[in-house]
Amino acid sequence: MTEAIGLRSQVRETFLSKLADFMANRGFVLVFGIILPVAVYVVFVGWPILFNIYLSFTKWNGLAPDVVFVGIDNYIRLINDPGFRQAFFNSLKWALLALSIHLGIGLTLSILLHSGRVDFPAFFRSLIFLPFTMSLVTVGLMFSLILSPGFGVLDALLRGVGLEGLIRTWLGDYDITIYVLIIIDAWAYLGIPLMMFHAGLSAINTELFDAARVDGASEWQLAWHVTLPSLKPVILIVTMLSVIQSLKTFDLVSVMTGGGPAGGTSVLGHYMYVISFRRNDFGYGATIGVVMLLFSAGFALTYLRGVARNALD
Amino acid sequence: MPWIDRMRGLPLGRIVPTTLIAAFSLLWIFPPLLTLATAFKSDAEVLANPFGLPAVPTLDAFRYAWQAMDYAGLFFNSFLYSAAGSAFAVVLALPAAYAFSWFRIPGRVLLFVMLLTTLMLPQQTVILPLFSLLRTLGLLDTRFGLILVHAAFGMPFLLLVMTGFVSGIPREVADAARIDGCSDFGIFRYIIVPLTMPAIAVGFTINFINIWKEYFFALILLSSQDAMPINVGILGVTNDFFFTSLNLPSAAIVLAQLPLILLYVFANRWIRQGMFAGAIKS
Repeated sequence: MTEAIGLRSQVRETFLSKLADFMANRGFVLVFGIILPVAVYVVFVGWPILFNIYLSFTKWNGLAPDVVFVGIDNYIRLINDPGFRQAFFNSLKWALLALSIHLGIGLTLSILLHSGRVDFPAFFRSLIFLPFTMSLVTVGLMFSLILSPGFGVLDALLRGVGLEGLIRTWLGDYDITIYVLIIIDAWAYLGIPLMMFHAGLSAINTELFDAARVDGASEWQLAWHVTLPSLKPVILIVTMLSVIQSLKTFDLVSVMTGGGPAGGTSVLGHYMYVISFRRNDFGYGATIGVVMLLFSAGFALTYLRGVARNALD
Repeated sequence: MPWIDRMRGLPLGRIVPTTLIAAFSLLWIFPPLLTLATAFKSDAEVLANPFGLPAVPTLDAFRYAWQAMDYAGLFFNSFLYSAAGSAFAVVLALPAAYAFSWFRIPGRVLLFVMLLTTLMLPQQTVILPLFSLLRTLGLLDTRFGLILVHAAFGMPFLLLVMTGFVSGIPREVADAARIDGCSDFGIFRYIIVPLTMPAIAVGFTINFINIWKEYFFALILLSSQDAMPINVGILGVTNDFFFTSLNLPSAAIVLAQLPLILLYVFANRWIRQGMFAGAIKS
């Protein structure tokens, strides 16, 4: 009798000690290193992505218990919705223009700052990086003040130098307000491409130039055949980051214009919010979310595969 | 750049490009400096002297903004979200960084890429399910709910920063410990965590800043005024009452920005180290 109890507790003890041993070794790695983070991902990201796709096939106000399945109705609505079309083309405009600024000005500035012809290059780089330390909300507020029609500093400045003719209602003009916002957005973000190009330029092996020069290459040939190809990976990264950044734009629009005037600054990221949370149309809002997912997925996965390889090797 | 080397022989070859760049970067420094200067001006001086430095600096605008908008409460919330969200994210990401870089887990590249997708995901693609999930759990409009979301969305960034760092630790460091019978957890606790401290500091700081700058989640997942972080609460300055003068909103902007400015001044080195990884987040 006592022997049996002793045996049982012995079994339990070995089991517990084995469990403890496992949890101290592979179990710890498995449970806390893999299962827990993956579970967190599934709950907060993986499942929401899938559920959002499901919601795009439903009609739901976000509150009522009944979620009505409506098939592809929302997608048909998408095609016929002028509000969506407007937001879509504004986002496209935003992505292309912001990208041109990030690549054009970013690359030119980086090359100049890297040429050895400019004093204090690190100082200038940190100046241009400065706005990135601000939240887009405070950036938006700051420029709302500067551009405000009554007492804004920009108008006062233009008046001061005799250029009154150039004054516009910067944040209330259907034709130009979107460009004003895009420029502010690019202003705030330019530090990132600048830093990335700087890293890319610093990594180019100077022997490449020497070798090409010995072979009689002209300076333009050097720039075209050595510098740009060497920067290609960085240019690709900047392109992908810039496009995704533009695609999810929300803060500046929300703070400065709320999508107005007359939808002139309505972009996908903001239109999705308006549909979902102002008009309580979760089904259609989810559909716009799916469109954003499709556009970001290609860019994101290409980029992340490279990042993962780098980190894991 | 070699083709710029041609300019080397020209007179003023250094002064001209430097001046051009300096003029250009004025565009970047002028708006923040102007905001800073305006915040220290009195109502009368804002009108009389809109561009220059404040002749008689006054803290009135700061004092008024601080009281009128419950900045103490907003600061508390922002600190709570940034610190707690980043701390949870570190706790989640550190064992994962160890697992992904030191162990041959089947399908690890795939899992790793999957976890990192969060970094590039527009928040709009997950917000509706998150909104209803938090409501079902009774966490909508609670500080804890927002902290959980920030932890989950901050984890991948920390995972990326720390995996790069942990995989750089030579395995030989742990060999002696393993011979002495140290477990996987022991190696994590006594070797990985202490050695990874610099990466933890970098990752935590940048994640702290990211949460401080975050707007979309806070705007949607919170509704009570007293739970708002400063990045949402500051929008109170946009009502007509405040926007009648420039100094009050300027002071509000400077206050909201102050902790980040201090972080950049005192943790500049850490931030620069983690900046490239940080770029993909924001």
